[in-house]
Amino acid sequence: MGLFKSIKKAFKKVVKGVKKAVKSVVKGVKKVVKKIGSSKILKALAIAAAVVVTGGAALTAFGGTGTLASSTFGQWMMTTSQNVLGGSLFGTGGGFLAKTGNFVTKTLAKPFGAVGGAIGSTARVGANIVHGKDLLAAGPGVGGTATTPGAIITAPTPFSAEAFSGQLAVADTVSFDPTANAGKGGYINTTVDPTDPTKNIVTPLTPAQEASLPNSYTSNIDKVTGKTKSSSGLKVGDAVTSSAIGMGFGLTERAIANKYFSEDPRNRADSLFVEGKSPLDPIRVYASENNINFGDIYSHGTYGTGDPAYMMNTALFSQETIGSPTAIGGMS
Amino acid sequence: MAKVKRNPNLSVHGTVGEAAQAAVLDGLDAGFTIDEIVGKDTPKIRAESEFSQENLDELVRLKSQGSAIPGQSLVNNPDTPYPWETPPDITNPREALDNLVEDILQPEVIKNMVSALAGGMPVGDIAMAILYSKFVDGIISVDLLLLLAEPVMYLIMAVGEEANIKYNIEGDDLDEFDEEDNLEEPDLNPIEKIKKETLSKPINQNSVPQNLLDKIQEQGPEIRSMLSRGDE
Repeated sequence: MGLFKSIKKAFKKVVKGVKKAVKSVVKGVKKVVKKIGSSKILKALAIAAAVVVTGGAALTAFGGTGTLASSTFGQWMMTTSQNVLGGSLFGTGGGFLAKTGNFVTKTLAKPFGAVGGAIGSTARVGANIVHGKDLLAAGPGVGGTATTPGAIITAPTPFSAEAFSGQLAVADTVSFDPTANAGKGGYINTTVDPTDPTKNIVTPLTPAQEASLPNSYTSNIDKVTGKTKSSSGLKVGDAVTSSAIGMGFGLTERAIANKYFSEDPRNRADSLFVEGKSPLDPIRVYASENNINFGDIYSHGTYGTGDPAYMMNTALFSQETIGSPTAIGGMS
Repeated sequence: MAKVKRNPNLSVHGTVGEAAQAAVLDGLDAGFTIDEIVGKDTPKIRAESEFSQENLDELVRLKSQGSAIPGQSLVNNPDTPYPWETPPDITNPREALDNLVEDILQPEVIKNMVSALAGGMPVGDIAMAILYSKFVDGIISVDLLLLLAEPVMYLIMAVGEEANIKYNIEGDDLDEFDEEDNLEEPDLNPIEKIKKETLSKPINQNSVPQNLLDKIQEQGPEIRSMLSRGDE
C-alpha cells in the first residue's frame, strides 16, 4: 500500500475514533443533564471546544449575532485565561508561591494565549446564507445597519479588521468633544446636513449609545484634547491580559519581552532568566505523572482551561511543610 | 440570565473532547443552564448535497488521470525531493495548531467551508483535506496530521454550529444524533430493561426442537411460564 493510501486509511480510523469520542462525550454530558437533545449538547461542546482550540480570542473577535458573540459561558471560561495571563492565578499576596507562580504563568502559561480569530464572523455568514445576502455582509448594529447613513456603532463586517481585533465598528463621524456637555465633555456624532451639504449636524450621543461604544475605542481617547491617543499597541509595562484579546501569534511573549527588556535599569536587553529548580518541581511531577518529557512539555497537545503550571496551586504544593535546616558552619 | 456561582475550575486534558466536556460540565455546575450555553435555539440549515453532473464529470476526469506506477518514487532524483519527503517545517503540535487555526479562520476559507458543510460534506473529510494539504506541502509531519485531526474537526464543527448548519461528521450521518435520542427509552428499571431486550430478540426456530414447536402450536396460550406461580 502506498504512503498516501495508508495515511488515508489511518485518518479514517482517527475520524471514526473522534466521532465515537464525540458520541461518548455527548453521552457523558447527557448523564448529568437529563432530557436534553444530543444536538444541543453537541453545540455546547463545539462552543467550548472552539474556545479551547482557538485560544478563546474567537469570543471577542466579532460583533453580531453568533452564539460565541453572545456567549456568557465563553466569557466565563475566559476569566481563567485573564487570571492566567495576568498572573493573578496564584493570588496577589507577596508569598513565595504567588511570586514564583505568577512569574511562571507569565512566562510559561499558554492556555488561551493570544490567537487571532474570527470564528464568530461565520455566524453572520450563516445568517447571510439564510437571508440570501452577500456572504460577507455586515450584520445589524446599535445605531442601525452598517449600510444605514448615520449609523454610529455597527457590528463589524465579518472578517474585517474590526472583527479580528474584537471591536465594534465605530463610524468615522463619532468623536469626543471636551467642550460638550457644559464643559464636562461627551461623545458627539457629526453628520453632514442633507439639506445643506456645507453645514454639519452635531448630535450628542445618548447615554445608551455611549455605553455601547467599545472599550477599545473609548480607552484610546484623550479626554482633555478629544483626540485619539497614538495607537502604539501595547504600552510598555501593560498587563499582558490585553494581548489575550489582541490578534496575532506570539503577542503575549512579545509583550512580556517588552515589559522586561524596557524596564531594565541597565538599558540592556537580557534574555529572561532561567527560573530556579524548585518552583518548577510541581510541573516536573505533572510531567512525570503524565509520561511527558519535561523539557518538551509545551510540545504536548494538552487542552483545557488550565495549564500544567496550575498544578503549582493545588493543595499538594501549597500546604505548609516543615523546612529542613540549612547547613551550619562547616557542617555539610 | 445565569447566576454564576464561581469562576471556572482549571483543568488540563489530553484531548479537546475531554476538555470541552469538562468545561461544559463545569459550566453547568457553576450555574449555567444548557440553553444559556448554546444560545438561541433556531432551526438549523440542513446540509444537503445536490447532484451535479458538472462535479461528477470533474471527479471522473480526475480519477481517469491515472496514478503513480508502483515504485515510481524510487526513481525520483534524491536531490529534488517532494516537500513531504523533507523534514517538516513545524514539529511542535501547538505551533502546528496555531498555524492551522490562523489558516482556517480566513474569510475565503470560512466561506468555502460553510458552503461545503451546507452542501453535505462531512467534517472528517474537510479536516482530512486541510491536514493532508499541510502534509503534502511539507509543513507538518504525518504524525502531526493524525494528532491534529481532533482539534481541527472540533474547530470545523464549531464553524458549522456558528453558521447554524446541521452538518455531517462522517459520511451521511446528519440525523444520527437525533435518531439516537428517539431510540432512547424512558428510565426503566434493570429487570424491565432485560425483559424488553429479551422479548425484542427474534427466536431462531431451528434452535428449538420440532416436538416443542408442535407442542407450542397445539397448546398456544395455555402454556405457562416455568417461573409463574401455580394456582395450587
